[in-house]
Amino acid sequence: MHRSFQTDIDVPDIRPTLLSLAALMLLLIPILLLIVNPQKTTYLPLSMSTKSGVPPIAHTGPIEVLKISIDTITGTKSPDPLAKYSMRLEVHRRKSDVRASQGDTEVKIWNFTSRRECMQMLRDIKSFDKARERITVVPSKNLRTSDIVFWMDILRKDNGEDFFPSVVLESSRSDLNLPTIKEDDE
Amino acid sequence: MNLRQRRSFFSKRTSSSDEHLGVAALAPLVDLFTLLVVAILRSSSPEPALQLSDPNTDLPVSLSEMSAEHSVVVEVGPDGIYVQNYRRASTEYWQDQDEILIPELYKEMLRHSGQKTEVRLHFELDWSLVEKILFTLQQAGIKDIDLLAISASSL
Repeated sequence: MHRSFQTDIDVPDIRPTLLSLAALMLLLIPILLLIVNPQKTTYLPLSMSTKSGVPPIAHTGPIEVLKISIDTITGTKSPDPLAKYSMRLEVHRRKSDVRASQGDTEVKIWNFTSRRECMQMLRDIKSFDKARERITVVPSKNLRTSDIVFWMDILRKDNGEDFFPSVVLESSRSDLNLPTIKEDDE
Repeated sequence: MNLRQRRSFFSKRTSSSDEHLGVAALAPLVDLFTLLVVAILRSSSPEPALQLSDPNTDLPVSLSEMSAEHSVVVEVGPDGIYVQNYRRASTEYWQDQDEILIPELYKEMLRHSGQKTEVRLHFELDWSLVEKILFTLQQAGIKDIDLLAISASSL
């Protein structure tokens, strides 16, 4: 039955609110594009291990030395850009006293041409020595800056979690002694 | 005229354009703009645009997300090695040299010994030159070295 004195319930119209929000965003986007710098930069800590200046961390876990040597496979035309590297993983595992800084170790060396297999081995090593943070990278002379940055990225973080956050670069050269600097003659 | 007829007479009439601009159409529009604003803020930097000493320098791209402040800038581009925007040595020359220490860079960096240093390296530089740069910096007493790279999340 229709009630004669029934009043209409006003449903608030949210369209003006949404329109003003859209208009605000429409103004905000070009202003942001004008203000901010589209080139976002980041930093990677660099340290190089040399005979005269090694940055040591006393690690007392089961792994004494963890070193990866990276080279390029020349002439490879694989569609996978990651397949162009060859890796040599060297691990010095403590046999007796795992708390000693230097002790009796057994050396294991693996060679890889697949990055996935190498990373899986590194994950196994990490699960074996979870406290280990440092890895030494020995790039070959064929590697470029972009290759080194790529390897530092994948070694520092794995699946969004810290993997080996302390990456130390090491030269394969044996003549890393400080040469004499000749002072300019007056 | 009965009550129903009067009410419809005074009520707001919705035009055909209002029907098209309904809430259902506006809500995704606002969502889209919000996502755009967040994406712009996330993939951009409030810092001023990077000015490189060597215009041919292209920085490498990194997945890292770190910020830092430095007092000394060393740039190695395809053309030359620069310290604080002043050219100190030739990249091409030192690329081919067998010596690992670069005296021009070493002498200059001795003045900045112990300071936090930002290194800008061209992405195609060979490791043989990069190791000379790092070795020289370390020998000059620079302990805190950070490599500048373009963030992978950059626009």
